[in-house]
Amino acid sequence: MQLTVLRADDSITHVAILGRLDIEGVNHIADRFVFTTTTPRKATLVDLSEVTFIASLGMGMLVGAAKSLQRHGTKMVLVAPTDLVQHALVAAGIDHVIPIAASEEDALEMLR
Amino acid sequence: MHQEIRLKLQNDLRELARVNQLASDFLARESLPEETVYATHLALEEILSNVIRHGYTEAGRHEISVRLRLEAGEVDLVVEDDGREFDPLSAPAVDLDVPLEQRRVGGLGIHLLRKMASEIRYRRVDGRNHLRVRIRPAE
Repeated sequence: MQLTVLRADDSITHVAILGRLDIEGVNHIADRFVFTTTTPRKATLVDLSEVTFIASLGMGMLVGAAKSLQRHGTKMVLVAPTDLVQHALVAAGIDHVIPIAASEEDALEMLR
Repeated sequence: MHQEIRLKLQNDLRELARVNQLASDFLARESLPEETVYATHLALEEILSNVIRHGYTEAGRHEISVRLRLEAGEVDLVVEDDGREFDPLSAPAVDLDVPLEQRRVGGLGIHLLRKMASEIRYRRVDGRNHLRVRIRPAE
């Protein structure tokens, strides 16, 4: 389970998660993910293209961070999940509260 | 004709990685659709993590049984535990239409289980929860 910061500047925080967002994976990265994404209070892209599995705890981690960002007037976009991960996100209605973009370009457009 | 594996694990979240690996190896024997494999892993994760995190009020060791069976392309999963009585079918539905600020961070596990399973049955027998979940490939 890995969390990589791809970009962190005055306008955008862009991170990528790699691996399984099951209970073990969430326990491994949750504190760092929440700190990295919510402390700057910037629009945040979360690349999920290398996430092979997500369970409810992983979705809860994303929702918690998105709620924190929203309280500070900014938002999160999920980027490029695999079909299986996207299916699970949609089944849980995550797409109702956090936008999902097919690409980084689309995600940046959503943030404009 | 069916194939099955039976596993036992302790009420310890570190056991989930071992169960996940054994389930992966077992499911790989059949050419199941990847959606079915994913749904099975999700069901295992949600059920077992729920039992281990919420099923026991004291810190003692408990044994949880898992039976995973493949029959005619369908997955039949049975989990038995001696935790407190809990029927996931009785849990209230999650409201997916509330805005982000009202959205709960937790509580999605049972919702996901219901969405991924084609059938869920629950019984309480002799102080044990018996949860049976069938996962059928999407048509």
